[in-house]
Amino acid sequence: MVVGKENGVPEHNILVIDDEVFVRELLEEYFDRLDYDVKTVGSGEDGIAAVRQSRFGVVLVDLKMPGKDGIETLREIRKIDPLCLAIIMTGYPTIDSSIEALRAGAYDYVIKPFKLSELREVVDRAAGEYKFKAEVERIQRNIQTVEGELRDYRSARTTPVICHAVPSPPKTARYIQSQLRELEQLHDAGYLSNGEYEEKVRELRSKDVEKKR
Amino acid sequence: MLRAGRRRMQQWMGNLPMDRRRHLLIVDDELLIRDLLYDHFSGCDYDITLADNGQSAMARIAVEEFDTVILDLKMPDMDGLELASAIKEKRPAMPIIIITGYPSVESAVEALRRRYCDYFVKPFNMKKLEKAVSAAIQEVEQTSGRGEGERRA
Repeated sequence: MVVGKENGVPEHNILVIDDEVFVRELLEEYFDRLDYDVKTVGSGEDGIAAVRQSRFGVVLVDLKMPGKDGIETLREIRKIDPLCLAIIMTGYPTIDSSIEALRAGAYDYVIKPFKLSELREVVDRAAGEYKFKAEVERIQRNIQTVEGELRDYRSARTTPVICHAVPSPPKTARYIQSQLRELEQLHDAGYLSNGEYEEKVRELRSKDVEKKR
Repeated sequence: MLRAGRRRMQQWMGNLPMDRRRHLLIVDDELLIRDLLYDHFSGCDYDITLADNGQSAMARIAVEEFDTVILDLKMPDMDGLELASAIKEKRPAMPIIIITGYPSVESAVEALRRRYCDYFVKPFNMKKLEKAVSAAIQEVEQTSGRGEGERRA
């Protein structure tokens, strides 16, 4: 299953926002070698502009920067693109900033100095989750389209007008079955925890029951 | 006291539809904190269940429906984070709000990673906690209500 191909696979686009040049260079080189597309910027303002321009699956933000700090930048980025996952990096971890990061919806909070392999694990996980989130959104959009079709079909059937071309009924039950199968694949591939999987399946099933009524 | 409670209730009504009373589970081993939270949230028209340890909280979760859980990190029988993940396993969509007298970067980052709703350090501002609770419930109801509205239409 290839996800997000049409948008140039955004889960492989990483944005690094750090005011220190050597951190930017290090991360750019490292993740570039791991087949990620890396863009680096030196301030929160530039980071926000970059997110406005193109889609990033994962954003790495330094906490302490002149101008807009990491938390503020993160808040604005998530306002622009709620799907993207932001990781806070800091050399000065504090309870307050970690709580603020939680409230701002950060994906992770990594403390400098870190091993690059550890950061890679976090970024890989984030990219995987982004891929999954994008996939779920796509499925939900499809479900909404089918529901819309079903509504159109029903209203076309009940409206007493002469209608030459009655739209054919959408294959809702079969469609939901196929979505269930896709979810199962995602679950088997490890993108979904057991709980999340069950939740989604329950949601889909309840839709199925509604349709049968 | 009553008037103040009503005013608070009206503020709260602005955020959440008043079609039913929301049910909170409050887990803390300190009687004083439980009392305080009970007094405050019952004044805001919530139904409240109190638990003083992790086991009784889990027993309640098993049989009752809750809209949000507020839990203390440090309890004698069970670690708060342990309890939170046990709750999440049973009810993946349940918003969890952590309150603690012993904050640490580690536990806050853990809460962040597990996507808990909020983390409050004692002593905390009751109004802010109340806002966090209603925001958490609102978010859950909006995400689950999206499909429902579609179905009803």
